[in-house]
Amino acid sequence: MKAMPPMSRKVRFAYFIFFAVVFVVAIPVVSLYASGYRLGENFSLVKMGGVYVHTSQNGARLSLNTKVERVLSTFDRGFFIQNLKPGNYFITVSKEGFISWEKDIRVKEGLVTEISAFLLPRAIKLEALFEVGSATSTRSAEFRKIGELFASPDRTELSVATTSAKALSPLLTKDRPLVRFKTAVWKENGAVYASWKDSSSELPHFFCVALECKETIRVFESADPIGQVDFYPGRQDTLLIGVPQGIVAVGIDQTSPRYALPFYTRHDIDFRVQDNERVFIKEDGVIYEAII
Amino acid sequence: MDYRKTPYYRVGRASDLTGFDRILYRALEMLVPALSWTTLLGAIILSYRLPVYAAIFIIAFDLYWLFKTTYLSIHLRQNWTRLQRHLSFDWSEMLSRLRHEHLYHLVLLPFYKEDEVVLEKALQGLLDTRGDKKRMIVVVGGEERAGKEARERALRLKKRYEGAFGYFLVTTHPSDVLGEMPGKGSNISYMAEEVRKEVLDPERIPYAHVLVSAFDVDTVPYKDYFLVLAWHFLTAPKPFQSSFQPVPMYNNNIWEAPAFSRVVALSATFWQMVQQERPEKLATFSSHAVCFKTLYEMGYWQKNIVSEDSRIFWGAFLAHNGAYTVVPLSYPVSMDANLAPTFWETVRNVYKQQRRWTWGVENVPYILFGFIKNPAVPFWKKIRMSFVQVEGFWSLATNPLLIFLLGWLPVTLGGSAFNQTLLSYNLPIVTKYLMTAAMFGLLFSAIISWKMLPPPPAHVRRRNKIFMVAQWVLVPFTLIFFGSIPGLDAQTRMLFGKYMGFWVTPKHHVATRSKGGSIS
Repeated sequence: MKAMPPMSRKVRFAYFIFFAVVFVVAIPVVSLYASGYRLGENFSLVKMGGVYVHTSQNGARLSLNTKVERVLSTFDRGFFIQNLKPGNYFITVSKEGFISWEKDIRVKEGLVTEISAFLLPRAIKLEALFEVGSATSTRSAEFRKIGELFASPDRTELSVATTSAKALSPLLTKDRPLVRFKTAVWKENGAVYASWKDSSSELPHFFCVALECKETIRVFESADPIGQVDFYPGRQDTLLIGVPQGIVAVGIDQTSPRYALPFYTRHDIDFRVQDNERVFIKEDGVIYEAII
Repeated sequence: MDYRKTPYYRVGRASDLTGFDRILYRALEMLVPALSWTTLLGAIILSYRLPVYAAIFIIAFDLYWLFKTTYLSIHLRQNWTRLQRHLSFDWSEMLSRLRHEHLYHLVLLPFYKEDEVVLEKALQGLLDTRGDKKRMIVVVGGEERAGKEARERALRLKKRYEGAFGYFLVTTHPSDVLGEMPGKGSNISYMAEEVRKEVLDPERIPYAHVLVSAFDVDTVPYKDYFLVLAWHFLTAPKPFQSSFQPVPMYNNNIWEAPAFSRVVALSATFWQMVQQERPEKLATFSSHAVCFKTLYEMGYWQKNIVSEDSRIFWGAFLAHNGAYTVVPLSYPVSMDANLAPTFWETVRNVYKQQRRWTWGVENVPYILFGFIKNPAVPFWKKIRMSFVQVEGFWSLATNPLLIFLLGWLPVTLGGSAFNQTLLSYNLPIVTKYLMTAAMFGLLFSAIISWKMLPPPPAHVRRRNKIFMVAQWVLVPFTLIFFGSIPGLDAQTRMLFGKYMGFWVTPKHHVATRSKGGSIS
């Protein structure tokens, strides 16, 4: 019986050399892989690209060129697809009960094209709140506040504390645009424009098409008069725009096909968005809340 | 060259030297902290200016961490096997084949203000070991600055236990001795000299026959420790040019200590076990042993520094021109995991203890300076050991921060041009996979730590046993808050010349805690 000696230096050195060699080989392999390089034909290195689609709709399906690639799980905040050869791809994000969202995107080598999917419910439910001018409309502070939203055209929000309009209430003009999420939105000559207002930070991806970015974008234009404009609740890249036929949801992103989806189709209606959360529609003198 | 006769042998800090030596020593003191801070700040600046290179550096670093932890876990597994074998041996039978009856064991138990219960546990631990207690010299050494009550405590224990051992001394280290830093080093040096004057010389016991075990007051050796030590001493190729290192296990109160304290303690044990498989990289740490002859020739432990446990090795290494080793015993001694009456006090104590341990960086300038001044140490040995020491302290302070906190820096600071690249998207994914793979080693650590546990006391609830495995998820947290940060704290103090003094880790007996039961 003898005391067991430590591992011999020879054995340790062999392990060390093995791991050192693997380490030296692994660095370029993993770095190149992470940068998008893949082995192509004849062992040549090919640089791939990727796409990242923002969406938080649990269960949404992503298809690339009509082939279903992924289904979004609970913990995901988007789809990240890599190993894409540079070129054009047709992306669809779909979910039952929602209007499918589609875009043509261009994938460039070594880069990730970033885009946000917007899934609009096929049918918006409305909940009637009160009739304008009725006793109910003034009974609660909440209803009064909602009523005041509609008190003046183009006025999006009023302070509850004062009855007079806030001096800085937006008028949706270039001089007094609606500013939210560092994006200014206004109407001009039959079009709706969006402009990025924070020169100290980078432009968000929806101001870019194929990685080329602009600070000001013409989001929507119409021969018909454009009514109220506001941000879709919870989104900084989608606007709700009032048109004579109803309300449409329009993406700021100019990547084609640009979408103008029917949010609510009725003539002679008005709408307001409160606290970036709730959408109220005024139709035939009745105020409804849209349940999104 | 007899390095012991040089003015450099006992240098504690740059101000102990003069002229160019002082400047050089000071520069060497700043080397490791400067490297650590340059690495961390460099990672931040690189992430901002050259995010692609920073991202590749982080990938390379993650790979380095993965392979290093795998490589070290092989050593851990090997030492675990060795430890188990050594625990199963009949050392009495092994020792009986060697002439050993002439050996004495001198056990040094320094204390400060610890309870009598803690001291008594240490003494009882000695009695529970195998071997002839009549050839054991026990010294319980207090500090004058601890007050009269401390000495009286020791004297009461002497009255109770002196009959059980060959010799039992109680010493009181005088305070305010010129040139000494209050702490363990100065105390145990005093204790050793008192034994020499009071026992060894009067009894004519040859110094070469005395094996000195420098313990902490909470050290409880396993059953055959003294037999294992004697066997390794008698079979060492150069016993008078060797120190002997057991494996410190923090099992005395492992069931009572909070989870993070256990993880920190076990991590220290695992590191020692890894080093036991690499004896050429091993330095003495905490409880260790050496022959009295060697110790006396070295002038005992250095009295003007904090990390006397490792300095005794480095001083001996330089004094012997590189021909000095540590013999790994691969046999355990048990000590206390950090445990205070309240949770936050335990947090504070663990932090301070880790900071004191990482103050071992004070040895780096001593070693490098000694290598410059002592041409007799073989060149490649100098290079290898310099690299090991510098890399060791650098990685302790920086690696966990780089891996767990800075992996996202290029993505945050790199700008939109970088953030559009596949590399920026893949960096967190690659880091996640590599770190997950590295964490698999924790599974192995959890298994070993489970097997190392002593039987649980009766009051321990079943869920605490599950915590003993689940606690390993705290590793990323403990590596940073009880590894990197105290390491950086100590190194930064060294960088600015704010030298630390010795901080005594409070030892609390479980019964003195305000509430019973575990607090995991």
